[in-house]
Amino acid sequence: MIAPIEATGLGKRFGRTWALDDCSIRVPAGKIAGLVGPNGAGKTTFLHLAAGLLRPTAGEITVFGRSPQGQLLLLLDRVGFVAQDTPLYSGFSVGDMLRFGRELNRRWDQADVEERLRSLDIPFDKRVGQLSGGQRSQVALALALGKHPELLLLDEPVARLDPLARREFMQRLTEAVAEEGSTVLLSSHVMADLERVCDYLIIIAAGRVQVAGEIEALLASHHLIVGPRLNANARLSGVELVKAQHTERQSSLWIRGPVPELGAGWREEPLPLEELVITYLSAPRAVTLPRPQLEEAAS
Amino acid sequence: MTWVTWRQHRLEALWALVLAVLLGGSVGYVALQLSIASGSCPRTIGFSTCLSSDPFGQIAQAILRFNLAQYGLVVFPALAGAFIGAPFVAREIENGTQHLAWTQGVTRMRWLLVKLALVFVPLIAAAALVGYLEVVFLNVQGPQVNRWDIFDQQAPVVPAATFFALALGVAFGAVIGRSIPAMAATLLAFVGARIGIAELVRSHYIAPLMKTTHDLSAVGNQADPTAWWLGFPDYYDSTGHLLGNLLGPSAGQPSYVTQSFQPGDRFWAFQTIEAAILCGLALLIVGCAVYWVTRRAT
Amino acid sequence: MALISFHLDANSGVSYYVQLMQQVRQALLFGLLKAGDQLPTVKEVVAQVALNPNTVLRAYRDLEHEGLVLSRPGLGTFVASNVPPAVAQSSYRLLRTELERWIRKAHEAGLDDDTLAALVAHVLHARAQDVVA
Repeated sequence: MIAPIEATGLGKRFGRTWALDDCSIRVPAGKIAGLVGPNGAGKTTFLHLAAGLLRPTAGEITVFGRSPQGQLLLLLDRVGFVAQDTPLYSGFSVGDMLRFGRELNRRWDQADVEERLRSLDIPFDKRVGQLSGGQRSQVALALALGKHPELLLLDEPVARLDPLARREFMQRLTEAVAEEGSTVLLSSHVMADLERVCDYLIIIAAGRVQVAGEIEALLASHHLIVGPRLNANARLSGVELVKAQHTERQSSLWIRGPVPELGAGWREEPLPLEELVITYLSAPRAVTLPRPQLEEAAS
Repeated sequence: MTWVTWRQHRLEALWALVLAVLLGGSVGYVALQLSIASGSCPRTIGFSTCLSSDPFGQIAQAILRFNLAQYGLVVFPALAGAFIGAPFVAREIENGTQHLAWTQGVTRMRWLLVKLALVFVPLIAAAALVGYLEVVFLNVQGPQVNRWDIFDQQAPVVPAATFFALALGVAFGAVIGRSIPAMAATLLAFVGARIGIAELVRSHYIAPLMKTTHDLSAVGNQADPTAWWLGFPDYYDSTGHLLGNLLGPSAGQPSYVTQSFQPGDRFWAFQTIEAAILCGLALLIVGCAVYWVTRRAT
Repeated sequence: MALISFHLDANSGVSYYVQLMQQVRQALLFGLLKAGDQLPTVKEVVAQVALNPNTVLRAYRDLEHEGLVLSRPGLGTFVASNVPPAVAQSSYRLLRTELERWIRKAHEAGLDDDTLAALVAHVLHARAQDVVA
């Protein structure tokens, strides 16, 4: 099964800074993957590399098994991209933007795009510069969906939208995915959206991949246990310590693995997705990546 | 791509068309009036004696008086380079729309080349037309007209300079990524290059001839207005000693004079050589711009 | 036009697919969905609540395992014909009023909500054991 996105040792340097360093990620087909991380962590860089807008400095990235550098045209037909701040030509009318999409893409479903915008009550003769933020994002999404892409890349598409516009965007996005079965990689800071919509999570911090995995598996395998203060030399067996926090009387441990036998005074606290993400972001050395393919094949 | 190019650049195209029509129209109109008024009307005499005094002639006189067309023809390529060439790629980059344009179904190479061809060709053609009208205007003034004085305003140099300016603009725009600085850079580079070529390089296209004559009035524009007289005349006395450039009371008795010049029949050769140089540079610069856009990435 | 719509609570601590299943069961309980009725399509559901389509698919699949619905490829998901009959609104209201009365009595006796809930769970569990035995 060819992965929609597969990066191996991917690195990108701008000047002397490595925006991405030795990233190996595999986005599985049919998933809606969320890309999370601090600003400047390399999320946009990764999306641009996948979209063929950037050339890797080190390592490689393939989209549907092909390099975006070598075989760009083949990929451009299958990949839809919505950049940060949803760039559109503000002097164009909505109808002009659709025409733009039709002229520049080989496979284009004009009727579908028109219907999509009509159902949102977006007038075709209105200038893009006069649209609200929510309408702009819908037009940008419609443009990306017009070629019925198999992979959708979205760079913080709802960052500046009000809650209603954000909800409407997510509704249209998930609706399109339900219809097409496309794979989505979407970067966002809005954890509530990611929790509803994503089933795969990638955390990138300081140019490196910290976490990559199915959200359900991540939630099932991570636990927060709280109990009396441990001494500094205490060791846990059978589980991996992601992060530890101590007060004078109490220790909080974020662990990955099966829940150990909890001794006296120890209890488990809930660990929702947002807290899990924050745990990793606050513990930069912790890394949780899927096991290599070899092991899966053997089992 | 055709519709997209038109839709993105139609405003600029309209402005360029208006400017070209104004320039070409005024040059052509004056040429027409001159040819109607008299068979030949040497510039040395002055146009007002040639042109008729009816309203049509007066309009022509007004146009000539302000010399706008002549300035306009020098400025047209610079304006094209700065206002059309510089924002060509720069505007996409500074608005972030290159992330949209370059992730549709066309490669960057095709996107850029088609846009360049569709926008450059009509502009260069318009420049060629206006430059040709200027040639006609000069022709109407008779065989003794001094073409060298208005070297930059005639075809084929005007369209070649337009191509050169556009190329500079696109290249600066692509590399700098912001319209205003790219415009400034384009104007500076274009003006610098044109002045540099005109002052330093042009006279050397073909080795100049040297006129040596005892007839002291046989050099200079008065003697032969169709030639390009280079530098100043050198006056020598009968012993071959150089007296200087000027005839004055302190100078000795000049016996003969020399001055280097380019004969009039070489004019079109010079135009062609300069046009070829400008086009060659333009092609090189466009090549650099295409390379930058396709390899540079964001 | 979908027969029912879903409402998700991000803060309930209950995962979304479980909430979907609960709401289908509720709809069956109240008679809003009857045997043979079509559940909203996956597309309709996500268009309304902005959820991952796989989550909806999973909820429908689990409901099918419980025997409550039947998925017909290409046609949709339908309520199974052998679904237990709905509880009448009136009996539901009666039971609820009685429960509220009991809860008030328990509070007066000094039980807090958590102890109350534990008592209910305990009794249900014990009854289930009896049934098995």
